[in-house]
Amino acid sequence: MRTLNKTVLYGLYLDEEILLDAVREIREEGNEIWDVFTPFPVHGLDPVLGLKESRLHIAGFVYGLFGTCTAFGFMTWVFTRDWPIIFGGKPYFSAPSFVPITFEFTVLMAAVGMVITFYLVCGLGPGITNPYLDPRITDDRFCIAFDVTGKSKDEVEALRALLNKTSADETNIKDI
Amino acid sequence: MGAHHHNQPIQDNPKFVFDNKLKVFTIALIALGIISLALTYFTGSEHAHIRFWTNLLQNAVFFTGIAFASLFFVATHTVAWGGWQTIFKRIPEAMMMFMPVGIILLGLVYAGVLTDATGTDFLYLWSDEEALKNDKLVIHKSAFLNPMNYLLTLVVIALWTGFAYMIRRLSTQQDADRKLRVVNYEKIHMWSAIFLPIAGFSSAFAIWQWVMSVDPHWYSTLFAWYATVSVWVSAICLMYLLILFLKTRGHLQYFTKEHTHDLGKYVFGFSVFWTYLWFSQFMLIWYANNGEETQYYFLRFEQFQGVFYLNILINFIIPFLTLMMNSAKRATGTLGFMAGLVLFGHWLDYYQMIKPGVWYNWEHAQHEKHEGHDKHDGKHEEKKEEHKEHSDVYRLNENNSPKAVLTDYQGDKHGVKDHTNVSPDSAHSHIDSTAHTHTDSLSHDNHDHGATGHEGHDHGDGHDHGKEAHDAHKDHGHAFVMGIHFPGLLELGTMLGFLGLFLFVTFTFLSKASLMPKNDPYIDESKHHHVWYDL
Repeated sequence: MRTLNKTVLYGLYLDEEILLDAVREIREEGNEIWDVFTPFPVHGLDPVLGLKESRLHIAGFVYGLFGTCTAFGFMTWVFTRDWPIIFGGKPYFSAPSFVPITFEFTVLMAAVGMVITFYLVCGLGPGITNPYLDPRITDDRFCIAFDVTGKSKDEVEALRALLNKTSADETNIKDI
Repeated sequence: MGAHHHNQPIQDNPKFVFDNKLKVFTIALIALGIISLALTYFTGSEHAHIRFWTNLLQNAVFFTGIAFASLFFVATHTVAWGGWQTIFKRIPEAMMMFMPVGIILLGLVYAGVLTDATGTDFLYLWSDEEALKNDKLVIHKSAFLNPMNYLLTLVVIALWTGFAYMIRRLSTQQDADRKLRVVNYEKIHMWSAIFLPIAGFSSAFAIWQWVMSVDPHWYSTLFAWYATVSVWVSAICLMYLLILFLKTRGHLQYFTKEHTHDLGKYVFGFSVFWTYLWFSQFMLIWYANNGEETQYYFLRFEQFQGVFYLNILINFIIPFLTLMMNSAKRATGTLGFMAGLVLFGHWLDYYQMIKPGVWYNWEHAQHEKHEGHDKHDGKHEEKKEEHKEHSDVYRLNENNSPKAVLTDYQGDKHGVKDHTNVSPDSAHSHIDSTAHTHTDSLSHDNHDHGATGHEGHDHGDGHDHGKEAHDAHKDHGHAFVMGIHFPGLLELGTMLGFLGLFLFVTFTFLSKASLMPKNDPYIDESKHHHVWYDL
């Protein structure tokens, strides 16, 4: 298992609305949240956390464009230069018949490219096991985590009090 | 969250008043339309008034189609237990009430066909007595394409209107009586579920006759889908424009960026879907390269390139590239502009579905007249006989199947260019070439305009032959006719007139009921609808 060499204080919440309010309150008090974990995408979490818009879709557009150019260019090269074949009485360069494959390849490149990029950015992949805070985060708990590596006991206790104040169901510390 | 998080009370005025200013505006538009239609009629005798008939038909079908799509919108969203559209559902509910007017408008076309008014023979070749005697395909299809079935399409609109009245009444009744909240919703749900399959089949039945039958020698199994999606996108665009207008007047204040986003997704998604159907129809015809099918695109490539390519630009390329981004779908200005553009684009789509076919019918009739004039000696008779012989040979070879009849017809039709180049005694080669004439000239044309490549390279002399045909063709000449080959000012005036009529009816019905369906079970879900958050 990969280790991050961090000490993490986290609180578990029972509902996403409570979580959203908690994140808002904690950030308004000037505390830095390390990360938030939820079992499903929570609408509105990104702006509350102050995250910038993901650039993944820009990558997706570039991959798609790459797919379009590759497929169309490749078919053009094959059918006009490399191995010209007359099929169906059409000319060598018959654009309409290239469209379906170009379309499919665009979708394929955009989809596969975005998945690979997402995995790389998030440090996921086959054979990589990431540390986790609590297995219930993948089920029905919503988690706010602070990085408390090297922090004093008082600081940690202040953060814990803040988690409890914002209706955390339970709080824990874990080395990961 | 989102817009409502700050707990400010929302000032929403649910009572729309169709005031005099608006009435004058819409009536002025209607007057403009009537003047435009009258002018197209009185200036159109040179082309047998086909400009008038096509404009009437195009706009009647387009706006009736939008009304149909509005009813379809209400029905699909109810059947799918949709909630987000509830705050603005009075708008499609008012738009669909244009359908009875559609019966009158298409009734005018029907009356023209029945009374054999000048030009209707070219509008619908199946109503032409000459064609019914000589045109094998028109005879073949007369079991379906006839005035009786055309009358049935008006009955179809009446049936839709019945559903529209029923659903609208059940919905507005809820406003007065909270006890009807669930009872009426369930009734609307039931009537919607009954309407949808009927709508699917009957809209195809109607659109085949209204629009596809202007090209009675051609058919496409994708046509009904393609034409219906066209009015569906248009209905959503018009709905959004009406919402924007009503918002400026202090109504629909619960309509937020979240609803805008969903309508934006519709405009984007269905523009792509429309293109998918458009291209599927095109590619299958292009690939198979059968004369009876390619004639449809042949005509558009040869004489209607402007409308043809503008159609793709406005309805696919621009909305696709613009609305791809999330932020564009949520931006009022961008989506408003795109809605206006796409609405016009699909009006143009109906223009290019109707005008070329009718123009072709007219032009072909002129050719025949011309030919008949030229050859009043024995030669003509001889040629006719020869023709007959060819068809017999061809049909014998093909076991007299309907397809052989079709091919034979094409030979006749475009043979005009061909006959001039083939000597009468080379009968056999003539038969061979008739089957290809069409595609050859298509290929040549493509070559000129760089559209889709050039077919016909496999038949040895195909290319040269096409060139000859094309040259011969050029001698006949295709003069550009405003209002036929491209929409002119009178077309735009007519469109605005019909739009004015549509708005008049919509505003009338909007003013009859509260804009806020306050007892709809989904109203709260719709008021607090959110799918995304602004950063």
